[in-house]
Amino acid sequence: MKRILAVSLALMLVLSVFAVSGMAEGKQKVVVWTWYSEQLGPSICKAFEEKFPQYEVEAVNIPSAELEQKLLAAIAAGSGLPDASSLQGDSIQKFIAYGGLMDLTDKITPMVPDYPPYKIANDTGSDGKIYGVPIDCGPCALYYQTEIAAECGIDPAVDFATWDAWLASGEKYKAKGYALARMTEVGDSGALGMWTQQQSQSLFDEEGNPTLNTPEFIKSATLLKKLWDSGTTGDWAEWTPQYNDAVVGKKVGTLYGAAWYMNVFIHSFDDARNWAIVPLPAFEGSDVRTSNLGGSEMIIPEGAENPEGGWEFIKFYVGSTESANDRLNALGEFPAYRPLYKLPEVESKTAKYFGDQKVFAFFNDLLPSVPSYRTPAPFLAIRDNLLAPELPKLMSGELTPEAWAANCQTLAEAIVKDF
Amino acid sequence: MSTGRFVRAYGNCYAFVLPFFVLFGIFGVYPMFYSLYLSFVNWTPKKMTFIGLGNFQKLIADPVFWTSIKNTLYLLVINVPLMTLLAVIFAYMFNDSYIKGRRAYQLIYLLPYVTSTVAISIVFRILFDDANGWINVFLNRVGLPSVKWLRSEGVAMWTYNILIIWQWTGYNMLILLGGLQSIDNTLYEAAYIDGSTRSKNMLYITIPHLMPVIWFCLIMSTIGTFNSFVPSKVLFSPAGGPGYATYTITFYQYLQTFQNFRLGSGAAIAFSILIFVAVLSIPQVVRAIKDR
Repeated sequence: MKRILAVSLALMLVLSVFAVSGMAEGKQKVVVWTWYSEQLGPSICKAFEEKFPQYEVEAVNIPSAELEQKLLAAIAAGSGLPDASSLQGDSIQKFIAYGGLMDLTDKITPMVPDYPPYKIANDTGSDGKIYGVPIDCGPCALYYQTEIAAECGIDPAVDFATWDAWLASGEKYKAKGYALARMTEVGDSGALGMWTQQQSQSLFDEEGNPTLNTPEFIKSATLLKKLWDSGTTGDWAEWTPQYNDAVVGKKVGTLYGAAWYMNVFIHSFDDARNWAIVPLPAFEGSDVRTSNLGGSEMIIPEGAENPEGGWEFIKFYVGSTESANDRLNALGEFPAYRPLYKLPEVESKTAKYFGDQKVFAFFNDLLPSVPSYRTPAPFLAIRDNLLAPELPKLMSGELTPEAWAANCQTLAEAIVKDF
Repeated sequence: MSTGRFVRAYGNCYAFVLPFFVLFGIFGVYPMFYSLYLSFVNWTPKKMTFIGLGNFQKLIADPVFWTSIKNTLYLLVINVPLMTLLAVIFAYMFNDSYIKGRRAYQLIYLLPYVTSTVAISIVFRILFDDANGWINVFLNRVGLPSVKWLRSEGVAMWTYNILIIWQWTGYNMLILLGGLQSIDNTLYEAAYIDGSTRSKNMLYITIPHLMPVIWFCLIMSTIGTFNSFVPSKVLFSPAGGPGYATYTITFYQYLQTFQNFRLGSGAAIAFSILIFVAVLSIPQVVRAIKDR
């Protein structure tokens, strides 16, 4: 009996070894870390493997925040690295500054004209080398509910022309019982960044020093404070059930956001149709009507086992109209690969949700005017761990926008010095 | 005793405990000393520079570090005594055989402890939502105004305390219940014969015999509070907010290490936590040993 058991176990061991080696026989494995695996799995990976039969893709699903930590640990350890990985656009400079990403300059140079310049700038290190390839981007616009706008007598061409006009239109919304937008007393550090970028400013200068005491940043802080003080906002935090109810229940008239909000709208608020999209209101004295929120990149870590396979995958995933169109149709994502928008079917593509507006062409037209924005290594430490917790001092009126900006600048200088 | 004889006599005993010490060495002692080393370096993923006490000097000058220490101590001062007191009361109640269904109550009170803190934080976020949370709906129904449980800097820490106390009281209660049941019943019988009352029994028999267990609960709660992280990250939006109101020391360590990639600074915070926990726990441990 013992002998039979021993032979059976040995046989199972041998078979399992063959099973493992047989799976990858004659194929190179390409390990991809991404939070998009749901979308990659069924469509893009399959199409890639059909086109490049020498590769077999293993798409590992990791939530975005966790992915950064895993990638950091793998880079520090120098092992267990993926062959390609997604990264949030705001985080890539952190990885570039600390080392650990492969220089993709030679590979991507022929493709550079295919991506918005500000996205390429975002993926370029201080050494002038390019370390990432954009997946998607978030050109910003103003979303508004057309029925509510009509009821309140809003003329988008006039009331949404400038931020001051938009703020003033809040009274029209309020008079009819609607909120102009959402805001809470903890503020919105994302909006601060978006408005500052719209004014062609960043939170940092070229040397990576914080620039939170600029007139542009103060103007952004003032707009945030005025919006909160106007009393025309709804007290909902973004993407909470209460906020979703406000959108579906037609309680809110406008919201400023990125192109990828379309996807959230269509998939989250099925009943809340009759929205339209117009360019962002302008700041006085400027004609820039857009900015950027979010977006993600593909990178190859240094020390990846199969960087060539990783690059082939990246090229296919984010550098072909075939895949970009797939992503656009499957998830309503807004790919950064611009040749996609020259395809007739995409250029003329309309969205019923937005009154048959040609939304993709609309956002593509905005792309060239999105100002560049610096996100050096301390960017998230400043935006999320300094501006966000400091905002209540501005919102409560404890500090004026000027004093608040000066205070943030002092604190930011201390943080940046440590980086 | 010769070495050979010693090995023959006790070798198997050491062999049995060896796996624990090997694993503890690899996963406990080595990381601890390595992170102590890291606290003296400036470490980015690709570069390590020795900077001596530089990370600790920066921490001392960092106002957010002191805010997070203050918040953690505030949590500690409120919830550790309150939680232990509640646990003693519940344990005493559920130790009484006159209470019907006490096993069911014990289980119910223990459930929060075995539930994931992430899940609890998400549920608390719904319950305590400033606009439409159930707690505020209830307050409004009884004629009281809404409270900004998650977005007011003055109130957020109370919400945090409620979560911690709700989650951990059941665990302490279970430990204390075990302590109560280990007290020899003949002591109560003798006291009863001598005419002692229930309250005197509590004061002169139960509490003194329970003291080592109470000290154990206090130590564990102190350590648990210092390690508290998940509610700061999940319950409040923005994480750690409003303002810096719910920045705990472990949450700040997480931010420095994993968000800002200040790995040396994160290690220095970890050792500061160790120092604080040791300072706060030593008197409790000494007292617990004395009470044995």
